[in-house]
Order: sequence, then C-alpha cells, then structure tokens
Amino acid sequence: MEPQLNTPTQSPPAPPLLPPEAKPSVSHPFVFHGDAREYFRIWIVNTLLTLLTLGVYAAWAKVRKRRYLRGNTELMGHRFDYQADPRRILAGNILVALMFLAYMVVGEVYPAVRLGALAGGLILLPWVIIRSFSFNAHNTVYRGMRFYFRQTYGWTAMVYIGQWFFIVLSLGFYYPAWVRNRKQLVIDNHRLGDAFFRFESKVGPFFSTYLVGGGMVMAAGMIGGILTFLVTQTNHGKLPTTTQLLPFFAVYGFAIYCSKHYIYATLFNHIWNHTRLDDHRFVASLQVGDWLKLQLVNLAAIIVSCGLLYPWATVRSARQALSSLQFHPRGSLEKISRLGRNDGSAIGETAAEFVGLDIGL
Amino acid sequence: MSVTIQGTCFDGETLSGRPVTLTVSAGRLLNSDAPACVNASLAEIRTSDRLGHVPRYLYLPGGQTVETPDNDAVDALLASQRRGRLVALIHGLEMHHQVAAAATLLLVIAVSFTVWWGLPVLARRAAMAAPEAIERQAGRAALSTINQILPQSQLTPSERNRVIVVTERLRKAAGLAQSPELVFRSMGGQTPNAFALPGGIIVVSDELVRLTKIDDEIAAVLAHEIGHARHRHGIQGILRNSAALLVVSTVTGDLSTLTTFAGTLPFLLLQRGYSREFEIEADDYALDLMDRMGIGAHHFGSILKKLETARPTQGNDFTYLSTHPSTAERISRIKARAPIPPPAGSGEVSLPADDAPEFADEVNPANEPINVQPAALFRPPPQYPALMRAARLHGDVTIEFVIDRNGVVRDPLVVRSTYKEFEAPAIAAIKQWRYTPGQKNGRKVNVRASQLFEFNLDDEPSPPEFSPLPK
Repeated sequence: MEPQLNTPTQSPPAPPLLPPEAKPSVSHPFVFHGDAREYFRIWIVNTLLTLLTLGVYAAWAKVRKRRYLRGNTELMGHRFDYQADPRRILAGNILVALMFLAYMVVGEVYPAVRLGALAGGLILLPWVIIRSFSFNAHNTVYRGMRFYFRQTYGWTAMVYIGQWFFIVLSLGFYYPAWVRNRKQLVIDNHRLGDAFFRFESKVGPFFSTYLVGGGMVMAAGMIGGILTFLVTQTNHGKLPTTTQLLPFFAVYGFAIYCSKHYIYATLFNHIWNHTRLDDHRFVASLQVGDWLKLQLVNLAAIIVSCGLLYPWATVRSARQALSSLQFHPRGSLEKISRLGRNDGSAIGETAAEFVGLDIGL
Repeated sequence: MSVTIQGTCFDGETLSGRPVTLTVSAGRLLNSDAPACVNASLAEIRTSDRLGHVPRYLYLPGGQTVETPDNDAVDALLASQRRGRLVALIHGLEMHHQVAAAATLLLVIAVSFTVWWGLPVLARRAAMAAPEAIERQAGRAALSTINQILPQSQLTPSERNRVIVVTERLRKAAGLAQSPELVFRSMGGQTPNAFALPGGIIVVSDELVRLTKIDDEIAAVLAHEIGHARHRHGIQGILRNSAALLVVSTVTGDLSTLTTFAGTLPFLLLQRGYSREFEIEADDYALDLMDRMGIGAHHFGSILKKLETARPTQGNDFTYLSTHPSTAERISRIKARAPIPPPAGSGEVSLPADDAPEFADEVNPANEPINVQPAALFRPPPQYPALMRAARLHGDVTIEFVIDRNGVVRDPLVVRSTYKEFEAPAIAAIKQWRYTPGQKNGRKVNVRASQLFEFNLDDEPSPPEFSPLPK
C-alpha cells in the first residue's frame, strides 16, 4: 500500500453505516433499480457505436451494459460495482475472433485441423473457464471489496471434462449430477474478501428438476410427432415438407424453451437456498409459474422486435429474479475483510489478467 | 471550488462504510468530517463513468472507494479537471429519447446493410483472392467425406461418357483451361442430383444421368454447378457464415446468446438467404453459358421440373425456410430471362406469357420477327391413359408442331417422351387445339411451336405448360 496521510487503520473505529445485525433472522432483500427504457437507450446507443466502430467498441459497450445491471442491484443500501477494464476485454475479443475465424477457414480446408483444434480447445477450456470466472469476480466489487475466484487447472478439467465422460458412460443420466458438481466448483471457489461461498446440496433435487424438465420436452416431442403424423396423412407416403414439420418444431421449440426456464427457476431457488457466505444465508423464492410467464412474454417480444427488445427483456428478468432473492446475515458483516491485508503482496490481487477472457458461461 | 460530494467511504479493507462529505481544497479532495477517510490529489483520483442513474464511484490511490449518488457533483469535479468529456458525451447520447430512436433506426439500417451487402462483398473479394490450392484442398476434404457416405457409381462407361462429352463442350464454351473434375456416385436410386464442391469438383449422381435422355438438360445442370465453382461459392459461404455469426453475436451481446433459441433464429435465416442467393447466381451463370452454346433456356426449366418430380419431397415450402429457391421460383426466373434477343439466324422467338406458348419457333424463311404471336383459342387437355393411371405412372411428352395460317395445328411430332403410352393421347389432344394465326407484316404465317404435356397423378393431366422448342 502506498503511504498515505490518513490510512483507515490509523483512524479510530467509526460507527458503522449499518446497524450491527443482532438477530440472525433479519432479512435484506436484493433490489433491482434498473429501468427498461433507460437500459434500452444505453443498449441501443452502445450497440450502434459497436457496429460503427466495426466491433472495437464492443468491449466498452459490454462494460457499460454489465455495469448498468450490477450498479442497479442493491443490497443493504449499497450497489454492486463492475470495474472491468474495457481494453482487457478488447484484447480478449480480438483473441477469440482470430481463433474463431482461423478455425472456421482452416478447418474447412484441412478437416484434420478441426480435430486438432477440438483437442486444443479441450486442453484450453479449463483455463478459459477459470480466467473467465476470475476476471468477472475480480471486477465485481461490493462496498469496496472485490470478489475472487480461484481454482486449479486440474480440478476444473476433472469436473468440466473428466466428468463429462461419466455422462457418456451413463447414457446421459449423470448430467444433473454434472450440473451440480459444476455449480459446486464455481460457488465454492468464489469469495468476497475473506468470506468464502459454500454450496451444500445433495444431487437429488438436480435429478428431480431435470426429470420434470426432460419430461416436458419428451411429452412435447410426442405431441408434435402425433401432430405431424396427422398432418402428413394426406401425403401418400411422401416425406413431409418443411411446412408440414412446422407444427412439430413449434411445439417442440416451445417445450424446450419452457423446460429451460423451468429448470432455471427451480435451480435458482435451490442453489441460492443452499449457498452460504460464511454463515450468512440466502433465501430465494422465485415463482416458477411467474417466471415462465415472464420468459414467454420476453421471447415473444424479442422475436417480434427482431431482437430490439432484448434489453427490455433483460431488465424484466433481472428485476423478477432479484426481487425473489434475500440475504440473511448471521452476525455482522463487518468481520469480512480483505484477505491477506497484512502481507505486502495481497494474494488476491494477482488475479489481474493479461486479457479479459469472458465467454459468458 | 464549491464542489461538495456526499457519499459513503469504504476503506477497501473491510465491508464497513462511513458517510463522508467531500470538499476540494488546494487541489486535493478530502472529507471535512472526522474521521478522515479521503485525502488525495484530484489528479490521482479515478472515477467510474457516468451511466444512467447508477451511483458513482471515486477510486482513491490508497485503495479506498467512495460511493455517491450525486452524479452531477462528480461531473462538476471532473469538469474542473477537464476530464471525462468523451464519457459525458456518450452519457448524453444515452439519456435522450430522440437519440435512442435515431440509433434504433440507424442500427436497423446498419445491420441490414452490413449483413446483406457488406459481408457478401467482402466475402466475394476474399474468396476470389483465396489461392486455388486452398480451395482444391477444401474440395478434397469434402470429397473424402462424401466417399464415406455415397456408394460408387453403377453407370456404364457409355453413360459416363455422355456426361464427359457434355462437360467438355461446357468447358470450351466457358473458356476454362481445365475441365471440372467429375465424380460419379450413386444415391441409392433416390435423388437425382449434382453438386459442386470447392475447387471445381462436380459430383454427379447416377440417378441424374438416367433421369434424362437429353444431353442439353444434363448440360444445364452441369453449367449450374460450374457456376457455383466459378463464383467460388464454397469458400464464400464459409466466409460469410462465419463473419455473419460474428456480427450477430457482437450485436446481441456475447457468444452465449447464440446458444439460445431467439439468438439462433436470425442467424439461421441469414444462412438460408445466402445459399438462395448463390443458387440464383449459379442459375444466371448457367443460362449465360447455355445461351453462348446455343442451348435453349427451356432445357433448364424442364430438367428442374424433372428433378422436382423425382425428389421425395415436394417443393411448396416457405421460401424463407428453404435453402434452395423453390423450383417454381427458379423456373419463373428462367422464363423471365428467356426473351433475350435470339442469336442471328436462329429464328427463335418467344411468345408472350399468359395463356399462349411461352416459346415458339417460327417457320420463317425471311427470318424476320413475327409481329403478332399466335394466341390459343381452344386447348382441350389429353386423356390420362387408364392403364398408366392404374399403374400409377406419371411422365411427360414434348410435342413439336406448326400453327398454320388458319390457326390449325399441323405436323405434330413427339420429340421426347418418358413413356410411349403418353404419346398418343398427347397427339390426339394437340390436334384439336386452335389458335389465332401468327402474323408478320400484316401477313398470316406458319409458326412453329413446342408443347410439354405433363401427366401427373395427383391431379388430372396438368394444365398444359408450354416449353420452348429444342433447336
């Protein structure tokens, strides 16, 4: 730390802004202050600037958009800050775009390169995942305190890729457990200052959630199949045309979308309800029916507006999800402090990246 | 300076914050209220950019952060330092409804322009500049995949030779140094087809060769495929699709958006649109080439119809969802192009569309254009032969005939038929047809015409469709 006239450690303990939480049952809601019209204006201006600068501005646009969403999220009277350096994200974007173009063009000419790139991609994947999470966590700040994400390459590879083979071996039945283990890896390795997040959940709720979600898709597949069968009765044995397949795709796509958001809402509740920050708890009560309704309106709006109402949908989703989430601190949050405050080289600070790889996992 | 900022100071060491009132004194920002939290030179303070109604942050060199809802006070502080003007400009743009409305309009225009015009032009340039060796390698790669899927051809040497001779004629007319490499494959008796791979390889299915006895029809299909190769559609498609994916993902946020249903849809539509455009471009190339070789454009229309009939699916798809333009769309394009001035001495003229023959030849020694085209008065359809109907066989017959000075059909001659059984009813029908005679310089003349009869089972013999006369 740089020498300074008034370092906080020298100052006498000040009365904290927040009253100390005496009772563990006090609940603090997450409040989202974002406004759909305001966010639309920000989104459209930044998107246009991105296009006019041939994508260079995308990094700045992304930071502004993300900062809007975090900056409008309030907990206990304070907002979340997003401090990512757009230049780092620009570097990351350039890297990803170059790799992507090279893959598409070279892969088409030498298909062997595709296999090589796939293998290379698999080797890089855990690294990219870690970088992405730690970049995002490091740049998310609450009350002057950064979040951190740290994990080893080996364990990330084990969970993300190694366990993927279990899914193949189990004919897909391991998938919900894989989702749970990934969530565990992500949550357990996040911390706010010296307070660690912990995710404690059995695998059962994940299985039941995916069972219902998968059931919805299968039922829709059957209904769509019957519809197609009825429609193609007049074909005299010819294959169905694309037009005749439309009802099938409509029913099936609708079910996949519903299933996806059913799973999202159910797991949102389950995961937050089983996540702790030290001894502080979260309580989520997102109503699955309301969430589905909201997402269906969002989908319709996005399709009808050719994507222009995407920011509107984003704000609505954020407001509904956050309004269902509460924080239950046990004891004072004042105890949370920067990790490694006493040794000169703060451990967490090394999380700064060369490039802001952010692949939106 | 009279800037005063109310906020909360966080020390960066713990989560605790305390309310502070900041003032500027002698170029330093400090909090007037005890205990001291902030004391830094103005030049060393970083601030978060102004954004909507999001609270502002002051980042102090000592690691402290001040969170304040007073955006205007922070802006005043920055203004005194002559900092943050660009961000203030962007914030200003973001806060105006009019700007947002204009930006929406501009965005829609810019995206459409980029995707429909900019990317294709760039992709075309890049594809034309790409070394041919790369393209050939891509073609080899695709071919090795095809070899795993499609069995070897069952064509006889003479059947193959037919295609090779046609290809050689096309090569000469197109002025190509090298003949396109022909690869014969069987499609299991299902789909008559031909397709071009990057690097000028053309895959021809056995079924296509056996579908038609007319070499000019084979030539039409091959010319279309050569068109794909000459325009380097393979490489262009790869470039366009990957670039479009980048544009779409840039606009809609990040690549993760593409995994969602709503994000994928516009991209799929784009891809479809691109390949439709390629088909039309290849059609145009083929028609030009056929024109140079003196092959009538109608051969293209007739082979397209045959391909359509032979395919397992029928082509009444939504055009936006199908990769190829529908056959009807392509044929109408071919017809729209057909009234090209005939090469001198050929005597080929076309008749106006509506219900008259679209194409007809004139028996016309003086080789002058007909002023008045024959128009149909009476055209009874042919009888579908009962045996053929029972056997559920369909096919077509092309008849060449002369419309004489009295408008009577004479000298009908079968020039092509799929089944002999269809010829008699077609001849019988056309002999009953009546026209108003064609005229030249006020004089009635004999006009030669040709007519395609289609015998389809789904409906009665189709309303006669006219087809041009083979030269």
